[in-house]
Amino acid sequence: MIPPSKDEDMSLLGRLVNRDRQAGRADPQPPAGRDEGRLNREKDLSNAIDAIRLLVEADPPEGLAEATMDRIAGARGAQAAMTRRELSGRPRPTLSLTELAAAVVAALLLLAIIIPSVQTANRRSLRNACLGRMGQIGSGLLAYSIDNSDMLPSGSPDTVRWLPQDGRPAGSNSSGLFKLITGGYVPSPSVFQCPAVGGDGTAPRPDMADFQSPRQISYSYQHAMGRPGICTHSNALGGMTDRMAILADSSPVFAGGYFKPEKVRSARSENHDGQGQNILYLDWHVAWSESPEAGVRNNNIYLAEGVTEYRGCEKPASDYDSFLLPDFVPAAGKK
Amino acid sequence: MNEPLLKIRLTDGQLLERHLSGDADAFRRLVLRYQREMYNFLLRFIGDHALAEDVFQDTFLQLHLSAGGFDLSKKLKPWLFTIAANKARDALRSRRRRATLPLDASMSGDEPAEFARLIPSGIPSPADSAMNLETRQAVQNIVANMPDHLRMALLLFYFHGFTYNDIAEMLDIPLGTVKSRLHAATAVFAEKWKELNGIAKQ
Repeated sequence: MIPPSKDEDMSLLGRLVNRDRQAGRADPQPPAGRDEGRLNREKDLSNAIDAIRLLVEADPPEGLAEATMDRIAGARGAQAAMTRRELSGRPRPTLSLTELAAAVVAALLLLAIIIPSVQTANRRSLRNACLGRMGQIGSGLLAYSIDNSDMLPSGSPDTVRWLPQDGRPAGSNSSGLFKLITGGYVPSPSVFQCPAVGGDGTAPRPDMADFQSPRQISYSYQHAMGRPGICTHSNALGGMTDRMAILADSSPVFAGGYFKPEKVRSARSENHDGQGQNILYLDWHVAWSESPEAGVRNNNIYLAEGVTEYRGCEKPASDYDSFLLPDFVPAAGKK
Repeated sequence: MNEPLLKIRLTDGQLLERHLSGDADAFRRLVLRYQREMYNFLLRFIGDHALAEDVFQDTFLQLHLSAGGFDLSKKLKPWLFTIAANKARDALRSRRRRATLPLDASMSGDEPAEFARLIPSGIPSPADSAMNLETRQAVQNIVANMPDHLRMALLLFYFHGFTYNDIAEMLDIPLGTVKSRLHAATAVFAEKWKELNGIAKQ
């Protein structure tokens, strides 16, 4: 057997496992007069690689992932307990009254500094958890639109009235979002509850047609009443899907299902203590915004453009006007 | 148990990002996604079910603890396998299950000076052997008895789709050393495989 050169040998190995490109090597062209020795080496190597691939593949033990998650939770809990023990195990110094008073003052000052920062951290964590849930709704909406000719779910296609007035019933915009639950597009009905607001412990069942209480949904969805509904590839939108807001923390303008004229100016959602709101855009990214001024034309996403008085049948001014309707309207649910 | 069927398959980076944003289910989905591949890597490298299971849990615990420091613009899989490879080597070392003597001096060095062995000629094709459980077990034994550093390169390259460059980065060794280890591993395997088939035919 003629010993191969180092380079020749390595290229052979790479080529036999079809990995030259990945390994950053150009596919070597076979030499015109390939000798018999090389052909034999190639066959030997190929046989060896085929034999290596006979290595048994085992099924992972039942419950391995769950055991791993339990171990992670346990390690985290033990870490927290250790920290608590360390803190509580410190020897307590003996203090005089003056020292005690000074310590109390210092502790109060410290608390005055720490409490707001703890509250801020808590708020930020809830905000991030909310962002995650909206991301899951976004994934659900995208999957729904793929299955439904690029159309987002609509609430009540046969009515444009979304607030009841003078005894006239309204349709439900949120029943469009509910289709994500009935169709299995979201992992759990609880993704519609902003963690900063909290749910009431009850979850709607997939055999229902709509959310049953304002505690089950805390996100406002783009006006999707009447026909033809919202298309994810509207010509009017062009390449502006990354600015088209379609879902956000609950609308403050129609909280409780009633128009609140005093909220028309500078309204922020109340989900996060009036600090701002998470917004889901039509390119499926979610972002936190302190201002409700967003969307394609950077105007209030909770209002129809140019409309300041509402009777409950207003529509978005255009295909690119974000107009997020109230998340839950009592009369609509009872209709 | 496999990853639950979902309408949208999120990338590893997206899942890690969601985990960091507080989505409790995202990390579980990552574990499920890599469960089979990771477990097989560890089992093949360590050769012991209980220890492989232990190292599997250690690996994901480490990922969980240090996820915040991961650069989300990079690929997760090489990082995950780097953690696993380090944990697996540590586990083997602490158990001292087998002596990791190099085959010979030139192969143990980190420089790809010269290949210590060539692939021997006349390697039988697996099709020629009875592909029964016994044969597969024999293949397993050959791989299990290889020096750790050769087995590691062989598994990462042939079973987990990593490139020479990936492996060099993961094991923190020069590219040339990856190539020489891989070649040596293949040569060692080929020789033992040939021996095995010779014995079987006798």
